[in-house]
Amino acid sequence: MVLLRSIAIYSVTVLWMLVFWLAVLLPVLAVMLLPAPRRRHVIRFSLLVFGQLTIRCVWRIFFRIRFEDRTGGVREPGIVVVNHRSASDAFLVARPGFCGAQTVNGWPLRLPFLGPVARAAGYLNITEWDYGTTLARAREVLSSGEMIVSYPEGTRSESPRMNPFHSGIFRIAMELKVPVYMLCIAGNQYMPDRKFRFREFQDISMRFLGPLPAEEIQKCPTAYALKMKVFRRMTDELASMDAELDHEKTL
Amino acid sequence: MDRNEIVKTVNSIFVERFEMDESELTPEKKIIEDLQLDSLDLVDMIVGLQQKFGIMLRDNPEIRNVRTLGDVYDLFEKLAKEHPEIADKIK
Repeated sequence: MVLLRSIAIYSVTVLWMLVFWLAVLLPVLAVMLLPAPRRRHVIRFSLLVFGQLTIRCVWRIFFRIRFEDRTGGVREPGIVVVNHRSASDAFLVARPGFCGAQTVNGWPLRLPFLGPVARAAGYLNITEWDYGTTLARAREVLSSGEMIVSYPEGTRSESPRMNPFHSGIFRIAMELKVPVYMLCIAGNQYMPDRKFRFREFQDISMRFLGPLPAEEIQKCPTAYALKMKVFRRMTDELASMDAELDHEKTL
Repeated sequence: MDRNEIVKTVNSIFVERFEMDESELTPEKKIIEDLQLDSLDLVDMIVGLQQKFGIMLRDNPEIRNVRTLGDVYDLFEKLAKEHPEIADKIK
């Protein structure tokens, strides 16, 4: 049954991807003539719409996504730190509804189709760019009023336990004096797993927390102190979210 | 400068710069795996150690062999014997 549903979700998602991107192909090609910052913004907005429609309409057939916004509606440009259990996170981050550039490892930027789109959107190649380039591009995104979406674990954990965080993105937050938001995603650790197999289908819970104000961030003596503050807060939040999901499963 | 003073001084860097709880700073703790420092944090650690002890570590090959907090204590115990003036430089 799980296998059939896996085949179904991939088929429907690929079909939906083709329909969406063919529908917007001409406007997207026209956008390529715009100056780079404007072009990146339009592509990021298209990705936001695509992500929102995917998780709200297409994936709704397969599982429910429960979202809680605990930011009080604040959307000041900043860094959004996301825990990373599964490849579906790249879609799920569209749920809060902000426009932003994601930080990615080099390999997704080389994927057919998705890679060129991500490059056109100005996604930040956190593993292959030097710190100065990443900082400059992050500044450009933030100054256009958008967010940087980052996965400081560096890779998918495929488990309720988070991998240790890397400090780079927290150093950028301190240097650019911007707030840090936290987006916690629970329940999707096997949706799909690291080998891109859907091993189960269950509800996904998302909580958008923060922001840690820039003034509080500046009080941290080092990027390490900031990353551990965020790590502990997210660990606590995810533990409560997982416990709620487990409790619901037993009912 | 004895071992206890070195341990106290090294630990003070982890408490001040990384906001760690002193109770978690034990010699067997691995700096990367247990304390979760990454390569950028290691640079902060080395800068902190240099400032506190008043010596340059950049060209010291032994810093590359440091894995645990105990290794840091051992390194500075050795350096303190080689450079007795370190004790005067502790800020």
